[in-house]
Amino acid sequence: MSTERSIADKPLKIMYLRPVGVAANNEVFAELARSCKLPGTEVHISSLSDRDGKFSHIEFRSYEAVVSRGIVRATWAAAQLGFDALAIGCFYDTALHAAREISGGMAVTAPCIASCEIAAGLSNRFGIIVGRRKWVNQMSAVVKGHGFGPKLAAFEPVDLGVNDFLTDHQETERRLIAAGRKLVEAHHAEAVILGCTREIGFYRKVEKELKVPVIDAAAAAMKRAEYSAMLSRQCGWRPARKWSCEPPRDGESEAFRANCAEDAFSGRIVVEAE
Amino acid sequence: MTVPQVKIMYLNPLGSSNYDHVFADMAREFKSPGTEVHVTSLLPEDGAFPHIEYRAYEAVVTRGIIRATRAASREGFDALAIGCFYDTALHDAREISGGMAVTAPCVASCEIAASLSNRFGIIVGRRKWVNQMSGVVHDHGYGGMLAAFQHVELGVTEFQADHQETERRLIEAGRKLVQEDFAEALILGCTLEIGFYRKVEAELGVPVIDPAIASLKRAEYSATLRRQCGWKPSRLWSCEAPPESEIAEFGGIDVDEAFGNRIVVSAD
Repeated sequence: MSTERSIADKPLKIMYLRPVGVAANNEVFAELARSCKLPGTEVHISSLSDRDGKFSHIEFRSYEAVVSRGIVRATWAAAQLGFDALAIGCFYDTALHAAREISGGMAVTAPCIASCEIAAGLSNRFGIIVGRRKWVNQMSAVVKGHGFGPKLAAFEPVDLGVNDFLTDHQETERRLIAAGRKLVEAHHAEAVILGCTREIGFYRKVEKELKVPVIDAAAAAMKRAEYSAMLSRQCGWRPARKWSCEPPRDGESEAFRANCAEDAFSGRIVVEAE
Repeated sequence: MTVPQVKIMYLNPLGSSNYDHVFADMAREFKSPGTEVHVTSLLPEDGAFPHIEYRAYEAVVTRGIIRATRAASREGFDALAIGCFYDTALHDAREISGGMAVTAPCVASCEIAASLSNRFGIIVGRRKWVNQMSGVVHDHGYGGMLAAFQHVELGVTEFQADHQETERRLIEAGRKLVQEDFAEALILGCTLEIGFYRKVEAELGVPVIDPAIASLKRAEYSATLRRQCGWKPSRLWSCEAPPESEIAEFGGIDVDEAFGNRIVVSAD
C-alpha cells in the first residue's frame, strides 16, 4: 500500500492537551493549529476535566502533581480514541514519561523537548525565556534530562506568571524582547525558546527584533506531534513497549480502566483536516 | 491553508552514484505528497569512494559536501540531509547553508529513537566505526540513552550483496542488543542497511529506525518548519557564516559543478 495513500485516505489525528482544568484560551491554541498544521492533519485542542482541579496554570510542582492524574487519564483515553500522537501543552513537559508509558501505539511529546530539538537543529546554543525565576530550577533539569544541557546558554525570566502573558500584549512583547536581547548579547544565545506555551503569538515579532530563530513552544509541540504521527503512519514507528517502556500489566489494567472511564477531556475544539 | 510544497535534497556523500537509485526508491516510498526530493551524489573528483568508512575518506569528501551544500542552498532547497551515519561534515555544512536547514542520519535517528524509548542500541557494520559514532551520539546529547553498539562484520558495500545473510546478521545483533544490553529500540547505524528495518522490527518486537528514512523525514520536517513557521538556521555567534566577499576571493567553494549525479523525485 502506498504510504501517501494511507495519509490521504485517513487524516493524521493529533491532540494538543492543555493540562489545566479550564477551557479558557483553548481557542487561542485552535487558531495556532489552523495556522501551522498540514492540510491532512486533524487537531483536537482539549483541556482536562475540571474534576482533576480547576487549575488555570500549573506553575507549581504541587499543581503539576495533582493534574498528572488527569494527564495520564487523558493520554490513555486519547490512545483508545485512535489518535496518532498527543502533545502535552506545558513547558515543564509535565508527566511526559508517565504518559508515554500508557500511550499504547500513540506517540507522546511535549513543548520543552520539541523546542529543544528544533533549536538544536538551527543553532549550537540557545536561551530560554520563562515567566518567573521560580520555574528555572525545574526547567533546567528537564532540558538536561532530554540531553540538551550543553547547548543551553541561560534562562531569563520576565516576571510574568502564566496568566499574565496574554493580558497586556504590548507589555509582554516588550519584556520578551528585552529578555531575548539579554540572552543573545550577554549569554551568546544563537536561538531563543519561549519557555511557556502561553507566550503564544509573540515569536515572529521577537524574532524580527532579535534576528535569531525564536521558537514558540506550543507550535513546536504541535508540529512535533504531527511529525510523530507521520512517522507512525508512513514508517510504522511507534513507541517501544520493552524494558523500561513496559506498560502496566493486563491484570492490573481493569482498575486502571475504571479510573479512566469518566470523560477525561473538557472544552474540546476540533480543527478539521482540509 | 495551502499545501506547503517543499524541496529537499538527500545527498549521498560519495563521488560514486552506485547507490543513488536505492535512495531514490526510498524517497518515493516515504516522502510526503507535497515534497520534491533530489537524490544526489558528489563528483568523482571529490573522491570516487564507494564508501567513507575511514576518517581519511571522510576528510576528502568533506570538500564536496561543503560545495554541494552551498549549491543546494543557492538552488533554493528548504533542507538537506547528508546521507552518512557519521553525520559527516554536519556542522561545517550547517555553517554555510544560508537559510536551508541541514540534518543527517545519526541525529535524526537518535531524535526518533529517544522519543519512542528511553534506551536504544545501534547496529553498525564494523567495530572500526564505533569509536567515532559513539562520539557523534554523545555530541548530539543522546549518550545517556545509548545502550550499546553491536557490529555485524560487514563493510558498507557488503550490506546489499547478500540480503538474506545481512538480514540474519542484523536480527542476531539486534537480539543481542535487546536481550543483553536492554535496548528498547534499535537504530541501523549505516544508510546502506536500507531495506531491512521492517523485518528486523517484526522479528524483535521493538522499534527499528532506518537512518536514511529518518534523515529524509527530518529534512522534510525541517522544511515544513521553515515554510510554515519561518524557522531557519541561526547566523549569530558560532553560527556565523563566512563573509560572501571572502568566499568569492578565496574561491574553491562556488567553482564548477557540485554534483556528479542527480535523481529528481517529483512532488505529487
